Amino acid sequence: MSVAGTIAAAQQRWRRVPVVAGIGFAIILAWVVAALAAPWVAPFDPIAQDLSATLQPPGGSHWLGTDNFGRDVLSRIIWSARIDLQMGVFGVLFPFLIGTTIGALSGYAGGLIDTLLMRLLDVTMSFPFFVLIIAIVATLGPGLISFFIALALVGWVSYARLIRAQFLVMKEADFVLAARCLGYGHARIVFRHILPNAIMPAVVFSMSDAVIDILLGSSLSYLGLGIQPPTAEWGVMIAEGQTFIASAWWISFFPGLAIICLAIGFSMLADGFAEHFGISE
Amino acid sequence: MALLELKHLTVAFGKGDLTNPAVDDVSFAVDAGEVMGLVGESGSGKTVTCRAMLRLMPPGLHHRISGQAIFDGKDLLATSERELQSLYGKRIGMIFQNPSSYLDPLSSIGQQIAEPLIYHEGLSRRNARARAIELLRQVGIPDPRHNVDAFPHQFSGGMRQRAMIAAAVACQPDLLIADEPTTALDVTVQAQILRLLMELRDRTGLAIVLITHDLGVIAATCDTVAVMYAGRIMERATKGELIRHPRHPYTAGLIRSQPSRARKGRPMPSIEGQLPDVNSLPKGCRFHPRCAYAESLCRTGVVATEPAGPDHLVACVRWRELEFAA
Amino acid sequence: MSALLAIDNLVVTYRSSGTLSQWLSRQAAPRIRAVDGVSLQLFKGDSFGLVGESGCGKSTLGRAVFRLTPAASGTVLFDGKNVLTMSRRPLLEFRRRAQMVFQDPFGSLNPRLTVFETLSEVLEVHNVCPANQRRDRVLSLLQRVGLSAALADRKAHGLSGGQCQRVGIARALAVGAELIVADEPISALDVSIQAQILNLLGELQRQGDLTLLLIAHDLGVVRYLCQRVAVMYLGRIVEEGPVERVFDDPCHPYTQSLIEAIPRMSPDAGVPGQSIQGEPPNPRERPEGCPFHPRCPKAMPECKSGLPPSAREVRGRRVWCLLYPESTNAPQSGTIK
Repeated sequence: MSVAGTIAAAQQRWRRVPVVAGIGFAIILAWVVAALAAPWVAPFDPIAQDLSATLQPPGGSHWLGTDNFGRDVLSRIIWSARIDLQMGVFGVLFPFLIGTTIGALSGYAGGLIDTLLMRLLDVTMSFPFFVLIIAIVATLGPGLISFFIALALVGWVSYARLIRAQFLVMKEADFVLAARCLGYGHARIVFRHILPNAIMPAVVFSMSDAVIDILLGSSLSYLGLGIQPPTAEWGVMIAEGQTFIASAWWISFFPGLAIICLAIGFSMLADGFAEHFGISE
Repeated sequence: MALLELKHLTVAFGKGDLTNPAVDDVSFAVDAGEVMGLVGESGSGKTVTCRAMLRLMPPGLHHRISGQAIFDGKDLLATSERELQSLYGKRIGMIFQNPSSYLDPLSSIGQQIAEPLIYHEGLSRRNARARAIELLRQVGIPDPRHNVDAFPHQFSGGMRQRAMIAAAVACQPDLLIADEPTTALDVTVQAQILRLLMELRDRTGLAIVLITHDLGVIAATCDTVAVMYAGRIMERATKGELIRHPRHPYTAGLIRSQPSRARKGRPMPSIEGQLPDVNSLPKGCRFHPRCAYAESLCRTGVVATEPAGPDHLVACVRWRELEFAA
Repeated sequence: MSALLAIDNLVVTYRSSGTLSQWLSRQAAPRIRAVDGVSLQLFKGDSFGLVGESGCGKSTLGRAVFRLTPAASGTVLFDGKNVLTMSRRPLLEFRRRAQMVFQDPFGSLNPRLTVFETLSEVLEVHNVCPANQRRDRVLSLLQRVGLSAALADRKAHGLSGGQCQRVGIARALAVGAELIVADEPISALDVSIQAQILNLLGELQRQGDLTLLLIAHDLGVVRYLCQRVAVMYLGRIVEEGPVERVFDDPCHPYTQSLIEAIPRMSPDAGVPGQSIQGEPPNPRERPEGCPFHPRCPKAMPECKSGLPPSAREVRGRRVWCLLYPESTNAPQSGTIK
């Protein structure tokens, strides 16, 4: 590497990465802690109704107000974090695993296997993403599990593409040729040599994918296909608060803010990761 | 007066250490029509020196430059951007190591050669194109009328380099900066490109600063040579003098470690150790960790550049005592 | 004494994607011959250089020997057995006895593994020694290639180019290789480091009775390290013999131009001579007859058609050129000692 390149790399690594990624990480961590500590942190039971205190504005004992059933908005938001975080994490995990497997197989084996798998990919991609998710969830019945199944069936595509592209390139890298030259078996080459070096783009992508999944899950709940009331979930809360937008804006507003906050957290983490790994080579 | 004169050029990176800058106190002069070779390995600072002198450092890279780079009486480091723009391409041309990265893949070769002509000399498109065809012919590209419309990807490496040379000399500059122009080329193509550069010099009086790590290229083409190591000039002399009577241990080591000088069956003379890390440069003489002749004075102390003969400068404390066989 | 490595008429092709018009007219996409019938022999303890410019096929040849690239025809006999048709067991055995060192020092090491992990993996997979001896074995390998033990826990990006290359060599030694094919092992290194690596290779060869096939474009390096050399052009060997004879008294016009083009590092050197025009050729456009004729300053009418010239024995080496008379018993394969 040139002199200037080495120095530039060192300078930039320490200047930009921690800030963006650090903030993102802090946001996510805050939500995780809130979600885990919900029983102790949330002031009220999220589904407990108090018909004498309906539609209270923020302030007093209900910091973020109450909804039309007298349920505390703040508590519902905190408890809902559990569900939305799951959407972000598990919604990404299954497509990641499936997509990585298919992409690795496709990229490494090449030939007929690659052709067949890529045609499968084309077919899956030819359907509009959201429409397909909604269709699957509607068929399987609303709920978190259906959501994860739908994502697993549809969302693997991007990961497969990323991993396959990396495999195609790395297959020809000198250190892989050296491994073949040394007589290493295919499994060893794939798992020990290629995969660890190929996985980064998929990991970075998974962080921004988490954002999409949270939004998607909330949207499905909003449409009535995800989490069912009375369980608290940000999308559901927005839907329920819709009728009261003019009079009791806080019922929809704060859940919306929560979604944005968590999404930004994941986004910033993704940004920081992407920069860090874009530059460190 | 020299066409180009660098005076105490120093480049420091980051908040660093101005006491131990990456490129330290580089001075040399190039006369009109002279070919000067700047030779060094990676980390020698030869490319940083040229980029700094031309103010073409990568943006976003914190650095500080001090010293002067005087081209035809004007200090490049102190002139305005607009003046620099009028100089580059018109009076100073540049060619680089990897022509593929420096040629626009979406423009034809002819367009890229015509561009400086249109911009600096105000030629019309038609005239510029005709000149481009002529230039292609001069640099030895076959069938110029047809190839003027070709795109870089249709050319081989050697031809791309010729095209870049054509674009660089289109406005007949006084000075050409060539940064490793033949490193990526095969040896037979390299011979052709070097021959082309020499012909251009003979025909137009072009001065050339040739940056390379290859001593053979230096020997074939240069009038004077400056040897750089870890950001400092170790020795500067005419080519013949440098090869016959090197005065600096590094220069002598470089010459001796050429495979052509090696005797078969015996270990090749080589320079021990590693190239220094630019973030932790040695104090005193920067070559001392690898030098077989290093003394205590070499490890501390400032090493001055002293004349070892007419037109021969060396930066070594012990140059008077050391004698290196040619 | 039979050869350790005997390559006989090796042909390596790859398919290029044809043009649209070819596809429409149902013509087969052309197969490009990167290696066009090469034969050579290495005996135990030899150091053999293979030189040529880009597109000559020397790297492809090296890879084909190791089955990293499929060969179209021909044989590669290692200790009498054909590598190209070996089944799994014997192939693994071959891979213990023959290894490759690559050009890009950083690229040839897995960026995620430390030096120690890279070397001990070799020991593990090939069962070179019991697990409790691995650490010592790695350290002794490092010592043998001139690396300090402190580097064992570093990854590739923490090493210099020269150090990475030493690790690559250590890896080949770890498996106990008798034959090392080095593909441009020093071109990516700095000049002052190149000599160190060359010395290492030379020393290992002398000590360990290693057989070395050195693929390089730098003739000076080949001259120093090798006893015999073959010059390749467009996938064929054009001259082959003892290194002093070929370089001091080149017979083939291409060898002559190559030698002429090398810049001499002498005080009164001038620009290298230039009897040869044009660029190293594209393997896609293979001329009829002798592959070199379009650029040859001594081309004759008969060079332009028919088959490429056969081998002729001239002044102690073999040349593939019509300028020289055909000798009735010139070996077409095999070697000149």
